Amino acid sequence: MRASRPGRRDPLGWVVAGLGAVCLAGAGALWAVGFGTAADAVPMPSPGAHHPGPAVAAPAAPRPQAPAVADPAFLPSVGATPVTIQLPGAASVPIRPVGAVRSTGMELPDDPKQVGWWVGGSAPGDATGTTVLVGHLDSVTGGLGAFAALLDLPSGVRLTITDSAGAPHAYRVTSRQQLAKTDLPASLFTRDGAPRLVLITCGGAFDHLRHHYDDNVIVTAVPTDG
Amino acid sequence: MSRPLTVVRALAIALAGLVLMAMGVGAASAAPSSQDTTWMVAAHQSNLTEIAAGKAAQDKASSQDIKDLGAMFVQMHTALDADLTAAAKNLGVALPDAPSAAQQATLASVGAKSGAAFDSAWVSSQIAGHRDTLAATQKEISSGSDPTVVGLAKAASPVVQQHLSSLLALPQAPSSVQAGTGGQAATEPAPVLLALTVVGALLLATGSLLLKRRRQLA
Repeated sequence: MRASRPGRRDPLGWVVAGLGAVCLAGAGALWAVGFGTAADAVPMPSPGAHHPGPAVAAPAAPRPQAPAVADPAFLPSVGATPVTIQLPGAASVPIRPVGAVRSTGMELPDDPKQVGWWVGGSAPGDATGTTVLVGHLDSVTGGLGAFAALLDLPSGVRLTITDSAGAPHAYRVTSRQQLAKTDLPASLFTRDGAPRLVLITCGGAFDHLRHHYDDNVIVTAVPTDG
Repeated sequence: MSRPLTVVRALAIALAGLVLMAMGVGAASAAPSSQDTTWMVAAHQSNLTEIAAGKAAQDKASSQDIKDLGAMFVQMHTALDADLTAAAKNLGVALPDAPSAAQQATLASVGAKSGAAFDSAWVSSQIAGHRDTLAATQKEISSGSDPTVVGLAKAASPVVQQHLSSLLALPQAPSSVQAGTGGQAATEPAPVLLALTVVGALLLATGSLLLKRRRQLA
């Protein structure tokens, strides 16, 4: 029992054209929501790179854990909390402390124009360890994030972090790398080793259905005087 | 000839003694430096903040570790603040009676959360607060003038360091960073999008052609 409607004498033509329209409409919808790939951030061939090659997290020689001391004269210098970071050609970006207590994923500020400082790591004035800042590439509600600028941040660029006491801390970018999110190195999250700054955002292909990117972009910088 | 020399020596010793006395009195009675008073105000406001935060942790934290830290902070910052306010009174330094506006805003923001979100926000804000307090206290130890105030800073430093160490044991290293949810930065079309567009256009063209031919035949 097939329903045959007058005026539709070529079902094949209608079906094929209809499928085409559906495909185009779907493609249009995906264009609208941004189903694509963020500009690639490949490792930079920088001769002076601090961490060349794929070993993005290769820290300096691991140092033994400092013993607990109670005499204030022997306490290592402790940095105040970072409050802003100055990226080249951009306004100063506010930083707020973020944690990851009893959760597997890093907490990020809701506002994509702010970036988070991981409280479990070091701060810029600390004698040792990695200062970790995380920031949105983009967000559904807030548009492009402050760390979208990381995607094309060249090696050698100077970054300045200001702490809550008003002291500036200058860094020089040494590498930028893109890794699958599942390969995020645990060694980035340490208070040991030579002082360095690590900035993390997203990159790679955008998964429209799950609303996330496949990769992380990781920029490493080292303290500099001038 | 020895008598004038003795008199001169005696006068010199007396003068030196007077100078030393004057210096000693001066050191004891001089007003604290701007660094000293700045640190006293900051340390007092930090104590008030940690006491309020410690009470909030005892009320709202879901983790027993954090409740215990809160209780310890209340007790130890109350003791530190008692010494600080007594010294400020002796030195004539006026102290504010509330945390700073920024500290109050953070206390309110953390206090508005509950459950695991409260615990996480509490630890983050406490690490930031104790870092700032410790950095300021180390600066007072190295750059302060008044011996009483520097002594207070030296006494506070290991206490704040111990609190910070306890707090730093709590955050776990994240296993992932999800830092993009909008897709606006994905400016290069994904291959599947291009394929969908091409296939759709071909199907639409074929369908139109079929319909047109049928119409012509009819």
